[in-house]
Amino acid sequence: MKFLAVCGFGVGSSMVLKMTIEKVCRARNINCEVQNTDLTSVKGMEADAVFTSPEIAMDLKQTLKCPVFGIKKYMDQKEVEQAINQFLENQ
Amino acid sequence: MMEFITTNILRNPPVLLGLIAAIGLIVQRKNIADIVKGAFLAAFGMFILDTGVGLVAGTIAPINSAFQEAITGSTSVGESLNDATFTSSYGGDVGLAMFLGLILHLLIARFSKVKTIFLTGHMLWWFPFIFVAAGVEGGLSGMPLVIFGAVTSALYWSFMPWIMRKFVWDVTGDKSFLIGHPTGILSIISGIVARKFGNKEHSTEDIKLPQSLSFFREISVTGGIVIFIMYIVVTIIAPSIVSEGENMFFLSLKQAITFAAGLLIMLYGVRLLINQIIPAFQGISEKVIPGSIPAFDCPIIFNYRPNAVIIGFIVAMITSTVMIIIANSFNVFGVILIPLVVTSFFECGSAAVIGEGQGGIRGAIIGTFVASIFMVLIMGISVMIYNDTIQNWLLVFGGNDFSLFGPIAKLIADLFSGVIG
Repeated sequence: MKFLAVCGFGVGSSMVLKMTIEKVCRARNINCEVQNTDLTSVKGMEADAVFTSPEIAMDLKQTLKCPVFGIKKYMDQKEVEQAINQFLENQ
Repeated sequence: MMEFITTNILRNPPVLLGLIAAIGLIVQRKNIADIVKGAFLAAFGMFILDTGVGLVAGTIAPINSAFQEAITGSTSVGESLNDATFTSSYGGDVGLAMFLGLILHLLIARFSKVKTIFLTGHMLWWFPFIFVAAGVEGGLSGMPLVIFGAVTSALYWSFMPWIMRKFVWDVTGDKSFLIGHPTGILSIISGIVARKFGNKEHSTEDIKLPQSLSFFREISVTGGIVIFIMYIVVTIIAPSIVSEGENMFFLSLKQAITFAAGLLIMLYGVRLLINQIIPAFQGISEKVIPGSIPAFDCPIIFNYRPNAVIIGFIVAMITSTVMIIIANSFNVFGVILIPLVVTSFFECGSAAVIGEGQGGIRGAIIGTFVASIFMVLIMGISVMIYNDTIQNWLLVFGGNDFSLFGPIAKLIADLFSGVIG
């Protein structure tokens, strides 16, 4: 499975989100690859799901085909886990 | 032997950064495949980063030389360093300063009350970059230059996030993290002003902003448009920038595209480079430093006050552009300033969030307004100081702590190089 963590510049906060997603996936034994990237580059990338801020998510939902999840607190493992659960249920 | 190492490794940034990444991965006891892969990705990242900086700076440089020609009637471009040659000549020193600086930064967190662990990846590269450039401007070289860059960077990484912690915690409502970003001084100014003149009763988050404003978030597009407009203005004032057979509209368009694409390339390079180093750094700090608090990139707090970010960007963009037009018209700084898109979004966006935390919507607006005046002032002063090294890079990314602490570091470097001789 391939997840993307997205923020405006794709270097700082998406890196934090990426590490949280990896922690959750490791704890849940989900085999996945997580990359972080910026708001522009993501439009040329393929993924099973995209995680980003609620504001950027509104934008990306219109342009991307894969499910997009808005995360408010990037360090919050519970919030990320809820989004991942939602993703797994809808598969 | 030493000369061989210096020429081929220390002055060869991709190789050096590859090695630093490999050491980080070895310390984490990764397997050999991960180590080889990580080392190569870091080396690619360094090369790509260098290319991106060259593209971005390359679109800015002609603006200033065209203006100087129009104003003074001569092109006084000497054989000095410029942004592209700075990274390839001193990138190795920056890499070493980063490596030593990180160790110092960990020691400060381990043995003092300042428990910051600075995890904003790209800023782990840019601070040694500006401080080494300040050292070069001050006449330092070799080992003293590396040590100078390492000490100044470590002090910044440890202290700035710590100094502004209470402002950040007022926004987040808990004490789980700090902000590690060159917005520092701008956010502090905004916070102090907002506390005095703001009113907490009305929040930025109570109003509903039109969805179309979110367009600004795509910083490469916004940046490209600004560079396009800038070039159109320049070609009208200094037509010599358009060479024969070229069309001013398409020249401007080409430069705008080069700028925006350069920005994306640069970000990709930083990402490749830093993703190999951050996890190692975080792993080590979690193990050896009890009670440490991570400092993250500024967009982390954007989610707490998304409206404040957009309001702050607009306030900063208008205030700074008006000031820049005035400064350029009277040639106040001897350098043509360019509208500060990146700094207005990230640095002033944070300043607005911090201002909102202290004094609601009024605090956010007044705080950001004052901060953006300060932004243009330090920008103008710092590009004069960085005349021989990273001036063009700073014209795009400065106006923040880079522009405040860089010149201060240059003054200190002057003193040191006077002592060493």
